[in-house]
Amino acid sequence: MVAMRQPARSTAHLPLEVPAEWREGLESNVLAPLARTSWRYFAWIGFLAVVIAWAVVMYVHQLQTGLVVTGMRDRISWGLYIISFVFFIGISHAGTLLSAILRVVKARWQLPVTRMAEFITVVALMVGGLFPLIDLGRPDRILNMIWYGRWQSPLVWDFLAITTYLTGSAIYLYLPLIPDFALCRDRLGPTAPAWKRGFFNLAAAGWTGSAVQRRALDRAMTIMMIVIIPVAVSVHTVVSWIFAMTLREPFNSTVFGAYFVAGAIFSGVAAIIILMAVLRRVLHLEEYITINQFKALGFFLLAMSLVMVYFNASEYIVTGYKMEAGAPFHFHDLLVGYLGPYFWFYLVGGLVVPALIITFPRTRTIKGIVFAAVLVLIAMWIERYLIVVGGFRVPLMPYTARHYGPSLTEWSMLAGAFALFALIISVFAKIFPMVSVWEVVEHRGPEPGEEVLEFPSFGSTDAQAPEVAS
Amino acid sequence: MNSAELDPDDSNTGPPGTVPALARGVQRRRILRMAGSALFAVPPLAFGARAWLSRAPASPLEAMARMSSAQAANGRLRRWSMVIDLRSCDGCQRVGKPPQCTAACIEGHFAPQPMEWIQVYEQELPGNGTRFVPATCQQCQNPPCTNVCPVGATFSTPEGPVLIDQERCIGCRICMAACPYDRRFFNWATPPQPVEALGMKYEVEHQAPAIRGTVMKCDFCPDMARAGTLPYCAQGCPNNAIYYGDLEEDVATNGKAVIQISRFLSQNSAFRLNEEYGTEPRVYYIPGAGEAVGRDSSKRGRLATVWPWKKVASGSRTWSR
Amino acid sequence: MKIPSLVSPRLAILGLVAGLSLLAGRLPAAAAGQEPTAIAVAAPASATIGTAVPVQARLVSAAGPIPHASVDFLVPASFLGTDGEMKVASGITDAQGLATATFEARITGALQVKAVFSGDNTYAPSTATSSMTVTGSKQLYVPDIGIRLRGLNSSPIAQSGTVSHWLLSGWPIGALLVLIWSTYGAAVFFMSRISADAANGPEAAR
Repeated sequence: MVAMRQPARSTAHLPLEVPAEWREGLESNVLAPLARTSWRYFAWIGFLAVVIAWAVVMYVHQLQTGLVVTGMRDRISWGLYIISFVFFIGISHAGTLLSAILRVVKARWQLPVTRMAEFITVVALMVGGLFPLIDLGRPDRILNMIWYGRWQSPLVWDFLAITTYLTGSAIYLYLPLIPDFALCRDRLGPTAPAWKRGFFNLAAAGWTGSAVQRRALDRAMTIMMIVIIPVAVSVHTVVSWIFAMTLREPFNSTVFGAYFVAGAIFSGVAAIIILMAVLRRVLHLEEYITINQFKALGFFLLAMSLVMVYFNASEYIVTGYKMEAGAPFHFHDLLVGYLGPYFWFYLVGGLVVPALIITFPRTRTIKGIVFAAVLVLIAMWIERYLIVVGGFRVPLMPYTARHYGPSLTEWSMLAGAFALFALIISVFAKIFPMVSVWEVVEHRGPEPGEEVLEFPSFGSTDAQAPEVAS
Repeated sequence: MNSAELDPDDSNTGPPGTVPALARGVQRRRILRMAGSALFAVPPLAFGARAWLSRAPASPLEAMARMSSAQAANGRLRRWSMVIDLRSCDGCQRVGKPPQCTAACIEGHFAPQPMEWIQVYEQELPGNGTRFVPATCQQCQNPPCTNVCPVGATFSTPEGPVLIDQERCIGCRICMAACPYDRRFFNWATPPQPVEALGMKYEVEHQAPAIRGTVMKCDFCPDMARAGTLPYCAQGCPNNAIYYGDLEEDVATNGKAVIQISRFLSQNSAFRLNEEYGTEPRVYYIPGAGEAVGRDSSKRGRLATVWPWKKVASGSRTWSR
Repeated sequence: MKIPSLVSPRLAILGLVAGLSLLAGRLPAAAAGQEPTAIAVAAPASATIGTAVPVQARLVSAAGPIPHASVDFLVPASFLGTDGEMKVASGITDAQGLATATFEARITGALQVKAVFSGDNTYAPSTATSSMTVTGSKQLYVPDIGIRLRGLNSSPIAQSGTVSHWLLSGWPIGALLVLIWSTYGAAVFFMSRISADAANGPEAAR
């Protein structure tokens, strides 16, 4: 939360009580990528552009030929596209959790990574929202959703919920950016190109840091940080309802909404850990993003993995106890059958192993936590695969269950989506400061002598561990 | 949305011909209402929305209203229904051909390969025998598919059949996820169809030519019943196992005999598929395993359906279900 | 509907008719070893669709009423190009040879109710008809759709069985959206105050 009661002082935009060198270092470190661009960056962007272009080519081919180029057929009528849709909407929850909930409770340790988390939210929603469109048989008729939309359809709920969530997240991303845009504007050298100057001028919205402005910003952020939490929770509930509103055996579950929300938070935290590690390395933010943030998020991941164990138990024990029609087939599939390897990887590799990695101090290093997060992210993608494919596989009539294998087109589209995700983040990293400078400075400010950024609650051995520097 | 005006029971008080006007009125109000929500949901799109409203294509409700709805002699609305007597269904083992209901449906509707709008499933019975269950779209009266459709492209008609407007369908396939009977089919590519199907004028009740990227299914042939003939499947059945009827006049026929549906169902302990879903199908089954036409329940297997067309439209592709 | 008084005054007539026809030898030719029978049917002269129509038949042989025999009641029907007689009811005769049943007439017009005794090892088959007129134009079949919550799971064409309540129509979703988006609007409003105060520096805020 903005330190409202700290009167504005010294410079043009920030109340500063931190050592000037520290602040200078932070600003120049965070803003450096905005000024300098290496050839590696262009190579990276070029690589991503090639992957995206390949996906576009495959999509055009799909448009020309029809969805027959995918592995989906009548009996497994949703596949990789809807799986990825659920996955991306899931990781979009990172931003809400990390930044909104922790801001509401006035936590501070996460401040250096809130910006990244909010970016994940917006970008994941933009990318995830593409998948239902890619999945459409007649994308040319998408406007029928507006002309003929029906309140009763879960897809219309999805459409409205995601639009609402994306808009809210964009506002919520922009609000704390305003003072940082002002910082960029003020720090632009005389040689800066005119478009850059114009952009930052516009984006900073005339921010000077006056008391009126600070109060206005504080109010706007308070509103958004509160409203975005129920919106985020409901969005993933609504996403689960495109399945739960059907009569198919594994989908026909009342716990699905909560199960999906928990899974979304779980994978969202994993996504933010990974992005944090990548940006920390690439943008040289080691000084601000330390083992403390990783540990805190790691413990959160641990807690969420236990929550996921709980949800899996309540889902599978309840249905497995009764073994209604359809359930025996599904359980056979999951435990020993066609989907068995994936299911066991999900349970062991996605829930147990990451939890163990984070539990033991020896493995609770940045590398260990990031490895756990990667495992979780893969496992959560597989979990959506199990839900969608496993659900559609249960035969409704006396026929042999169909197998589903994603085609090259579908894999290309998934690769393109990840590339697009990375591309947008990479481009944004060049335009926007990836650390909320003013908030970090401000919360460093009140007690300059105290190590606010030191994560206090996880034991002295950890605090003394040498990996802080890693 | 408020579509109380369409309540078929209201047709008791007014002439049945009032449905079209009401349908249009409801449709227009609904468009406006959705445009209202779009104003909030997609601000940039909504600016042009009102101007676009007049360009909105014809709705299935209007398409339906254009059809002459079928009425009994004294103006009562027909309520189409089907009874399939499994005692007389042997999967066409006796005639030694693929199921003839499916074959007739394919020829009549140009149903694209691999769509069997009426499909003869072989179901295991207690003991070691099987029975053949020809399954059309079950024409649920509480259809899960129509409810989830985001654009109202699939809808119930007052006569009972659930239809799909392939000119509105956006191909999201949520109806296929919702259908618990596996009775919906997607045009994954431009499907193979004979040349004469391509020349036809598209009608909601006769889904030819097939449109790539849209969902199709059994339409229950209300247009044929209105014209006074049995649906293709009932005509094609060599054992007269399929009865098509009208629940309003409580009468059905298989082309050979006329039955009173209500009595026939009760007397023969009729059942519906997956009654526990609460979908309230309009297709009833009389339990049996083909014994009325001499099939022994232990004789398994039926021949695979073939699509007869020699010459199909170019550029088409087929697939497996 | 009043039950036709087949039992008391018309019973006598029915018995009389059946007896007379037996005496007159107008019975259909019976197979060898079968006793000839006569049947008479009584039905109301008029009925409204959708109501229970009682019908009664009396089955006699030369030896008197035939008990424990099954009598079917048929009406002619024509549907989708097929003409036939459809069985609408059946009954078992009692000690007086009376079989009683009810059926619901759904098709309007003149109706020939036919009572059929199919015969058995002892008795030869026999039939009889009675005319009645069925009128009415009420829509009878009510789609059995269970309970629908309008605005939640009602189909594009609503039917009876829909539970309607203002809370269940579509607008609560719209209201929720309006609420959320107005909250966004409030945030944007405060945001706009930032640029409105652009002229003031931090010093002025003091």
